[in-house]
Amino acid sequence: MLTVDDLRVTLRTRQGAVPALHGVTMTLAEGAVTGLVGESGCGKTLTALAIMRLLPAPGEISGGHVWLDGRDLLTLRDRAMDRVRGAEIAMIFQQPRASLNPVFPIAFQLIHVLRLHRGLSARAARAEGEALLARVGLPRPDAVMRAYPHHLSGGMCQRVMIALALACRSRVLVADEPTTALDVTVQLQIVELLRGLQRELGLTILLITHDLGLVAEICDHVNVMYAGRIVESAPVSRLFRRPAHPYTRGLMASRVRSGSRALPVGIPGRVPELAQMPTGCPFHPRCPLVGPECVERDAVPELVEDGHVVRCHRWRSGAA
Amino acid sequence: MSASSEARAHPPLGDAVYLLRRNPITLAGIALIALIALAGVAAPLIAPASPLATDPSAAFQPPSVRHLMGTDEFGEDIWSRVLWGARVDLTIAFGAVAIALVLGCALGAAAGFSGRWTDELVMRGMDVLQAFPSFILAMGIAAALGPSLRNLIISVALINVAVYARLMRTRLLVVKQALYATAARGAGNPPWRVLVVHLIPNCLTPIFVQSSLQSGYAILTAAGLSFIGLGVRVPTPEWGVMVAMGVARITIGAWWVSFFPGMCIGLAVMAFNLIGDGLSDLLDPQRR
Repeated sequence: MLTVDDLRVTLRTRQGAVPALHGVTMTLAEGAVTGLVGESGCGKTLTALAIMRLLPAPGEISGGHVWLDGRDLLTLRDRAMDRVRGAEIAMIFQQPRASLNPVFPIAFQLIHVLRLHRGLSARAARAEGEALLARVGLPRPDAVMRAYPHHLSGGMCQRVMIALALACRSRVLVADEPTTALDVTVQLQIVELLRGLQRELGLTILLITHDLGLVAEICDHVNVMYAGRIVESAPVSRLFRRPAHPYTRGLMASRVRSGSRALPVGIPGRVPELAQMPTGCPFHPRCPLVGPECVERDAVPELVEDGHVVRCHRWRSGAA
Repeated sequence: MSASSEARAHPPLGDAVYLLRRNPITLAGIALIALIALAGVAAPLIAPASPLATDPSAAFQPPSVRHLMGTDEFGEDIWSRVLWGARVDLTIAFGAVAIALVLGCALGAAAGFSGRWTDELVMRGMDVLQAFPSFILAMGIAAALGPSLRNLIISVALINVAVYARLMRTRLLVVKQALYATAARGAGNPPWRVLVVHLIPNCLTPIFVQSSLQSGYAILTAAGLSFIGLGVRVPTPEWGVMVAMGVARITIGAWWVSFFPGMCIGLAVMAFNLIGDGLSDLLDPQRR
């Protein structure tokens, strides 16, 4: 239902235009949770913001399409895009408290959205707002309605953000690291909430995270991102059983596993700077399987099997 | 921390009362302004004489039971004139600040939000306004418009527009980057609604604090302009004019002609400054 096709983003800097996304392609299956994983600085958030057309100043969409129900969001007029945001695609952010306006109580923000998007009367909006807060698992919705964001914990703010997203009845939810800023116990609750809502309402979710545990927990399909490219895309069970890309394998090996005495391995080096992108495959300086062709040119996506795509010259040679 | 205990059920007014009790200084300022306003409103009822009633036979009477604050050279009752003056001076303070605030905020918001050439145009305009010493500028504007209460208010307002425009623009440049602005856009708000509903309310606290201080300065400036003859004209019961009328008479011992209106100016300015002190606590929900 939502397809990202060859999405390119450029950052305009003093050194000139630096490409940040090099043609991101992915499909969000309707009513499923699609994960987007990778290290910090890979362009995950940039992808999300580009889909929403909310890129901040130096960022600029320089190519590609974002198809939603047959319309290319990137070619819509600004006014039309305003009607898509919230109503068709909603987004929740990494810092839930900072996403809420600090000078207004929750009621104001929730009722504002409900009246705007659903045309409810003030009274109906208040009732619906409380129902939504209850729906996202907040005890005493009436008290939460009166609270200011700084009265609430991070987890509660994230629940409010989810309620705000539900308020517009959008079918697609872009969740940018929704649990990263939260306590571990709260993380699990939020994940379960998202999963429950997804099942119940048939939401299509794009979940951006660096947490593979979270991916295993709730995703149906996973895209692995590195240096502005999707390097591997597979159903979640397949990806965890048979990761093909050396980067994905590195991520898997970096996990701390319970019950295993092996120390996490990690990937040497770090994500390349945008302005100093290596030639060829951007992962080659860190890659254990690196060969001469990797330095010369970037790989193209290859089909490993149905639904499993990898972008690597040498995935065959290292497959576990 | 649980929200249920934090988000107590109290009405906004209860909040204000509680906060004011914690800020006795602000409370004193508000009380004083309220008192002055009350005096102005009730002037027709409580003033013993008309503020314009002259009585040459009773000129320069010292304060007495009959004339609480004495009389001036025309035999006008200064106590009555001070009461009526509260009306005029508070009108100047609130009027000038309201005009400057609305104009300044609109300009600053436009500059900070749209950036680029709008920003340049507006802010360079403000630079020009601020390039003059403000009192000299006020004198110039007042002189050009001619002396009247309305023109006095306009000239006092115009010299302060830049202050609000700068404050608003600076705050806006900060809050524009806030995540809740992006989140609001993400919820489908067009840019202007994000500006009006989400951004401007987040910029207002320093502006209101500033405006309470500016109300005091507005009275001072207006009094100054009237003092040198560019404000309201002589018979009008305005504190600045009254001080001006009395200054020449201090040498003959009639100190009361200037003293009482001058004291009122001082009290009002002080009261506004006291309010400004605690206003940020009152307005910012995070500091409650």
